[in-house]
Amino acid sequence: MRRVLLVILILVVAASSTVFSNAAGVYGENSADGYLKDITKDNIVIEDYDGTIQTYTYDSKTAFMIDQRITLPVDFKPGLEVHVELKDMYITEIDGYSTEKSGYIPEGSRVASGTIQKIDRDQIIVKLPTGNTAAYFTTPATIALKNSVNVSLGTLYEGDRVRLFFDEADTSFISRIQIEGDSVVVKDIYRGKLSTTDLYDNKITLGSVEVYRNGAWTPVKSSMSFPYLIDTPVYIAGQKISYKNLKYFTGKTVYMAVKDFFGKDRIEKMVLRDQYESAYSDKIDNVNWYTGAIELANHKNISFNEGTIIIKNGRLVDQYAINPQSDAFVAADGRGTGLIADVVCIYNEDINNSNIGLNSLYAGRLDEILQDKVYLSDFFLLNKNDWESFSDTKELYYDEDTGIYDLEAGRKITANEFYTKDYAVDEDSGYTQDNNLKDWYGYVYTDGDRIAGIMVQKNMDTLLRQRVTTGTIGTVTNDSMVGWVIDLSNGADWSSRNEKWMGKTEYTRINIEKAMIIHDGKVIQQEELKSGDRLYMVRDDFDAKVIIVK
Amino acid sequence: MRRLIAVLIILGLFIQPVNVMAMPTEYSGGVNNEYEYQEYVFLSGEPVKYTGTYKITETNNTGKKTVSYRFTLAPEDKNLKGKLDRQMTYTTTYTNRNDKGQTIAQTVLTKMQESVDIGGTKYDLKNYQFSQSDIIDNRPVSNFYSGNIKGRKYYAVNSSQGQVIVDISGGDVGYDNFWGNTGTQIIDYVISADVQVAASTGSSSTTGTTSNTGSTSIPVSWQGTVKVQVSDSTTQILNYSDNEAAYSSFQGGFMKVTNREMVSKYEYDLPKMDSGKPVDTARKVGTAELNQKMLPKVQRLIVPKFRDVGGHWAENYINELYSLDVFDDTAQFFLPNISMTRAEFTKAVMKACNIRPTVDTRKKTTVSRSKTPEVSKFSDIAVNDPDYQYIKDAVNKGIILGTSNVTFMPKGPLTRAQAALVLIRALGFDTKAPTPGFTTAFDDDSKIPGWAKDSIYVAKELGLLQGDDNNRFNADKPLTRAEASALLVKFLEFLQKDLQKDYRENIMLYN
Repeated sequence: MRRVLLVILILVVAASSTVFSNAAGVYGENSADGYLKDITKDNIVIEDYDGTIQTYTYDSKTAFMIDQRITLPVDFKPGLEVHVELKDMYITEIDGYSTEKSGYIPEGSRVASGTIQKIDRDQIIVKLPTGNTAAYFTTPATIALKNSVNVSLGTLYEGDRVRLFFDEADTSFISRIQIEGDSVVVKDIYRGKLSTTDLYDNKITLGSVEVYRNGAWTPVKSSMSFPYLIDTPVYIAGQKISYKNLKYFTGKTVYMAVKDFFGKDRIEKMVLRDQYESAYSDKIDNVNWYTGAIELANHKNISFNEGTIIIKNGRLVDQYAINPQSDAFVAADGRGTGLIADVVCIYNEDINNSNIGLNSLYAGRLDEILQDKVYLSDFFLLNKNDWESFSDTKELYYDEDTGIYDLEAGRKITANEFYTKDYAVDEDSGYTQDNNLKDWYGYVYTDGDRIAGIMVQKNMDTLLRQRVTTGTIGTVTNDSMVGWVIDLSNGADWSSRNEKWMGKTEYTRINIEKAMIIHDGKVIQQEELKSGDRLYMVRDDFDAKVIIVK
Repeated sequence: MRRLIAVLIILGLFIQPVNVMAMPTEYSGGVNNEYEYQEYVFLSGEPVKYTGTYKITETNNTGKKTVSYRFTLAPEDKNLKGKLDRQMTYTTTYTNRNDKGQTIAQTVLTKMQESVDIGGTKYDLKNYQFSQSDIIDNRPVSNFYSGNIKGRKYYAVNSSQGQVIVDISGGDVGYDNFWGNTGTQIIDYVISADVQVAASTGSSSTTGTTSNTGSTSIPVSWQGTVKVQVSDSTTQILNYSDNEAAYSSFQGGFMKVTNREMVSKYEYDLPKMDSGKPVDTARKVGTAELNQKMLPKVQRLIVPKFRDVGGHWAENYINELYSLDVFDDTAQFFLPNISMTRAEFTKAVMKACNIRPTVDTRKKTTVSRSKTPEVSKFSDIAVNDPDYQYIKDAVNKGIILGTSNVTFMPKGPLTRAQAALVLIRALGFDTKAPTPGFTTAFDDDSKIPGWAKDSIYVAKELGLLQGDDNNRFNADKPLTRAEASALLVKFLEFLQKDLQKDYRENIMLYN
């Protein structure tokens, strides 16, 4: 018996020095690391990094983890690098390591959505649905899409609703921006007397309904119903009220910002008037966000709050988007000096939507046209809605994608025609004088120094007669007598003398037959304009010269 | 008799309702309410709005659903003569992959008949090829699906005056849960027409008429595209209704309002016709939208009468959940400021999301006397515990884990990390986290346990849970019953509104 035991002992000692070891060799160890060799119903075989092969037991109490994530034995396959926590030869926890690329997400799979609160070149502050704000950054590689069409980042407005896509889990750099289409634009501002509230259909019915049109409240219907968006709270005199209590305000006047929701009007934001309305159309001299008040040029101080309907560039914005020196229509609620703004509608428009945009509008003589380059001389630049003259030469670039329109011929011309024909000549040469040729003139819309659209004509217009007008298209018609004509509502003209947008109280009829029309940086045709489009234009009385669809 | 009942019970268990996918009516971009159906028809090269009646018949068998549509429509413009008769039957076969928790739905066309009259020109459907396949991911709280659609319709114009082919390609996405469902289709139609039009009169497609003389007609070809986005969405929300009577035993209460709405947007790019012939240099580009809403359905809920929640910041959340029967205890005091237990929260999530089938069938399946008595997986919760089935079900569905393989700690306080794990796993969104090894944006990321990291990351992205003012997540901090109530209501709002917005507005208003 002793011999047998001795032999066994010798065998055990010998075996411990080979690649296989038995349990006695690791008793007392708390952990092990190596490669999983096999996994059976009760055992796990692991090859240590030193080549030793050990067999351990496990059961239903054993914790199985891969890359710190709880998992099941089925995920453990031979070859997996593992670390095991041991209690004698029993595995209490087994951790596998598999992830090749830590913290990876598929491109564009992280999404944030919200409303743009502020744009400052490459930084975009977004108000998230949680109510928090977050700063994100664009890069030259950021893709912007609107209505599925690739657009420039300059398209963005404060108040735009966006979806932001990121390629990494923890980055603030946006890889793609989806911008909500025309549905973001406030279609109309209505005023009416609250008649009934339908909590089932989320709908209110109003009497004596009026729409804000051309600087005045214009009657629409004696009774109308509007669905409302329940996510937006209702306010009265700065106090939030719940929809279930709306019925207690029957008879009160309601102001509503209405958007189109698949062909039907829907209230996006509404505020109840508490007392009496005072309406002002004036410049906002100062904004005090701390006290929540604006001071108009007429020295009226009017407070604002979360409930104030603030519209800028056709979009609902929050109070931080009100800029001092803006021109606005204000419907205030109160009496005497205690006024609260229910509606603030800002007129201001510019060629660029934000400081991301690098668009400019020039007018000048085509001094020289090279194969991809134009020199404008004695040119004018539209600066803050006024033509500013420069006795200089401006070098601008064009390409095959530049929209070039010959106003005299009444047709679009190619880049080659533009270069080879006599739109810019040497006026001192004999050929030019013999043929009575002269340099042509053009209106040039640029993105940086690249010409996006240019309209050329033989003679220079009198720019002093021109003015900048903004407004929303009511109708577009192709008149058999005068050609394409639009009716502009809620229009405003820039007054250089007053340095102020002057709201118009009538529809403005404008001929667009000979206008260069720009939409999303491209030249479009008159028939592509549609009702509801917001325009920024340079016009000479009845005739539009350059129209930018905002 | 007993055998018959047993057979019926077994059959009842097996004949589960097939996967219901919220889906717009047919594949034409049309919308309807209970009474009327509307759609635009582009076969003539013009957008023509048709309205009329419809009938939908659905039959569900094991793993198979047949939907038959019948439309009888006429142009909305009464000056335009016309009529549309369409009958279609689509059969969807569901193949369950229970091992993956997914279902493949294959839809084929089994019957078709269509005849359209637009201003005297007749378009008869001669052939319709159609194929649709969807993958449905069945998660505990909600099913999510996504699919692809391909089809082609061949119409004969006035029997022998040409042909219009409509090529259909697109896809659909949707979800379906107890709180609502939304199905959105995005389909591109390419319409190719080769028709004969009168040479002299140039009867144009504007009026929808083509030559009937034959001898003086000329061939005209045109092509147009129409992008259709249509969504059918149902959601349930809770509204509070006051009790107008002062002398009543209760103040007011909640009602559940179910709203169903269909919206549609057509973006067309069609030829501009001049005397019946397409003009090469100009196109007719535009959009048309449709919107129909069903009558809301109202359901009153039980009235909460807790005595200690009045004026509490979470009063509304607690009352909502109580009204929904999510909190079903009969105590007079809710005790909002004590810790929510793991068992209570698990049960609340299961009830709030109506994850009940397994629980309901429990009684039926335990009828057999010969069956071995069930043994609890966890040593600290007995089979006869009233919460046992909910916990068992939640564990089996992977919504929650035990504190170890043999303990659940049902009375243990629920931590923020555990709450995040439960909600995100219930949605099946834990796989949306980055691959392991990432850090969350919270300053106390190192204190977040590995098992909860994915869920906490996703919960933050969804806006369900945020950090404190110092940007700490406080993973181990227990949730009070009030906090848990607020979180649950937020979760329900995610199911009610956020999903709807993501599947409808975020698709249709941005594309």
